[in-house]
Amino acid sequence: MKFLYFILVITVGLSSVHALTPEQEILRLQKGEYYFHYLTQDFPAAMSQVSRWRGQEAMGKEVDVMEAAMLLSLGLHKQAQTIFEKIQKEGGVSSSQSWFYLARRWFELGEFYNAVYCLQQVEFEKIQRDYQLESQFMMASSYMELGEYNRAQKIITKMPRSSIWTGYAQHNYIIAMIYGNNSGRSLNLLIEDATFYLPKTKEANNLRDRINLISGIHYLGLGKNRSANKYLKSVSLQGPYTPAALLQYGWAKVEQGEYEQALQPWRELQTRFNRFEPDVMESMLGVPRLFELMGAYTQAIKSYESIEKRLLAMTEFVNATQQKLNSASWLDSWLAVQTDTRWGWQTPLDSTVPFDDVSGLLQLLLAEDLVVKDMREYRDLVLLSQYLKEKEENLLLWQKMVKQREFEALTRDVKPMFDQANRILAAAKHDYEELSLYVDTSAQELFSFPTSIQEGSLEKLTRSTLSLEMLLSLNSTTRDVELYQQRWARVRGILLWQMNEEKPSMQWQLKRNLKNTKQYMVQAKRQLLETQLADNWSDDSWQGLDVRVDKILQKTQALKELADQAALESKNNILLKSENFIVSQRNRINDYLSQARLSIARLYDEALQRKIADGDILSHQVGQ
Amino acid sequence: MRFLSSVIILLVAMSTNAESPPAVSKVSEKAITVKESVLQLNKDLYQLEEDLLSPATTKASVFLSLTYGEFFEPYSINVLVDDKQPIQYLYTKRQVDALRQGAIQPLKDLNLGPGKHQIKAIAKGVDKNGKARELVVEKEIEKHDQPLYIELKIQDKKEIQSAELLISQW
Repeated sequence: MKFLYFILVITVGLSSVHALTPEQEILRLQKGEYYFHYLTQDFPAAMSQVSRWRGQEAMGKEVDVMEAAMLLSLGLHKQAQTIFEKIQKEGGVSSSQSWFYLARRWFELGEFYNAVYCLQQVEFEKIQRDYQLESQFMMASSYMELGEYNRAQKIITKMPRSSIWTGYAQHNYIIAMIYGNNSGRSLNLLIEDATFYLPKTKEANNLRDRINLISGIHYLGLGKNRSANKYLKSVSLQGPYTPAALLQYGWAKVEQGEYEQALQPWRELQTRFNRFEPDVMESMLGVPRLFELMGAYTQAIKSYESIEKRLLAMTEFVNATQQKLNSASWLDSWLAVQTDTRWGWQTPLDSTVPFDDVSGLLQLLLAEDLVVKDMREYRDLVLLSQYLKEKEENLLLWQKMVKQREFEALTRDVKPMFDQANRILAAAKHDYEELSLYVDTSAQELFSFPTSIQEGSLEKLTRSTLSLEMLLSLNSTTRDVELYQQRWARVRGILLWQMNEEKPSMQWQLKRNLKNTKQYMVQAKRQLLETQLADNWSDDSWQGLDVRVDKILQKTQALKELADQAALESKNNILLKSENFIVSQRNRINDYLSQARLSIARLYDEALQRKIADGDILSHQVGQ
Repeated sequence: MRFLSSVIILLVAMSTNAESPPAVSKVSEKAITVKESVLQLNKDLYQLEEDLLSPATTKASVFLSLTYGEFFEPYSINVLVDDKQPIQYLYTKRQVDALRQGAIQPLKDLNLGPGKHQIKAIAKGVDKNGKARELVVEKEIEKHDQPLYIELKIQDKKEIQSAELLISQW
């Protein structure tokens, strides 16, 4: 039913489809084609479509909006901004759907002012129901970013509570409240409201976890440990926010002096998650610290010593894995698992790098937006290079094909064939006219349609009658032949009468055949004309194309070199970042290692001091 | 996408100082240049390819559109022109969604000689109740020296709670 709400954007401004002129119909098809490429995320094809419309008066300003959305999708933000500024300056009418897509891109890029401007151009009733909710979410969130919380709140109030978009809007509103929005609303109530009505989907569960985690951390910071506990406990154990929630839950328990209960979430954290995760590393040092707080110093020392060994093993692992990084095999294996062959910012990518030692270590680096962006860029360049190579090969084949077409067109001699066909047609026409004339005159003639048998019989009868006449004139016969003569004459008369009876049917048959023949002749004539026309058109298949193919081939080859070079630089850039990350990871491990060792020294020192204080060891023995 | 939006907001919200957007690296600049050039080249390539495959005089483009799609969801389309040149296409969910949102699919560019041609289309899919259905249409079209646009339109017929397949030409 929801589609009933959706009005085809391509017919906006046109009262009825039936009233469209052929030019408008073709334009409607072309616009629909653009949306098809765009919605199925074939951005290069859509961009090519838009480029062809440039300069067409009928497309108006819509082509600008479409192009801006496309450029944003392809990651060409600067160019999109230029077009967008032009739209804002000059104004113009465009479809709501185009504005919506453009708003979505700006919002994703954090350009909230531009996003609001685009959303204000959207007529909500003219877009799909789902898009209406997304528009409201974007509008509310953009207002929050621009500091207009009351406006945002009004929009959220009008949104249906069970929609995931409402959940996202409320999530953003909670963050805004935490970081300075003094709207006077109860944060607790808002959190309850945001999490309670969310749908039962994986995406909604993750959002619920996120809201609970943010709230828990917020209350932990305020020293409201019971509230923090409540929200942190609500985070599921199977989501992306589980490690952070487990760590924070442990610290909340520590703050409340419930040391033994703090151990459980940290143990869970250390057994279930990657040891290079910062939350896991922090919890590793948290455990002996708890033992200290509990006064279990011996256990604390043993725990620190155990952690020291683990951290040393991790350092060795990092050193060993660093050598594998230089081969960039992890990057290639990541490229290999991508099933989508398109390039561009919106291309859905499998962000999971196939699991091995390197990807396990680089997990945190690979979660960084900037690194993911670099990887996307590298992938785009690799794809572009492959695409250009493919096009280069195709163009070389086309080059041969065009030459072949030219050769065949120039050597093909169709004139004799057409002349012969014309002659055959003219002869047929002549025969047809003769027959037509004969049919027309046959009405006056008695003996007009004899068969060959009838013709033979008639000739025999005539000859016999003449012979009998001759016999009669000689009068030398022994018998009277006059009776025979009369009989033969009667037979001849009957034959002529029969032929006369059959004449109308024969006449009708011939007329029908003539009519069919006329139709065949018309068809043959049209076929001949069409073939002659096709021969005239055939020059289009090669004339002027060789120059165009050569020119584009040269451009493709030059661009491929540039793409190869850029892909290499991009790859080196990622490898450099991964190396830097490894260095920072090693430093982080070293820091924790130093802290563990310092703690071990401190605990031994304190134990020694306690023994001296208790008199178990004399002070002069310490020096020995 | 929605999560990305939220992450952006969280990051923005959590940052204490307003930061200017990071400067575009030289590699990125080069990548952008390559992308722009490829787009430009693409336009030329598409045009050239079309001219090579279907010169304007013989070009006939076949499109498919879906109006609402409440009573019919296409799974595949099969088009025959003069009992040959078959066009066969299987639809993905994303493509059907795009069609429902008003997009028009360019099915194929054909080469047709001048004169009359018989076009036959069979759309297979399911109706509102998930029952398999087949829509068939046949029509005579005429090709002149200008490019021909043929639209296969799957259109809901609300009064009989069904859909029909139509052919239009321009």
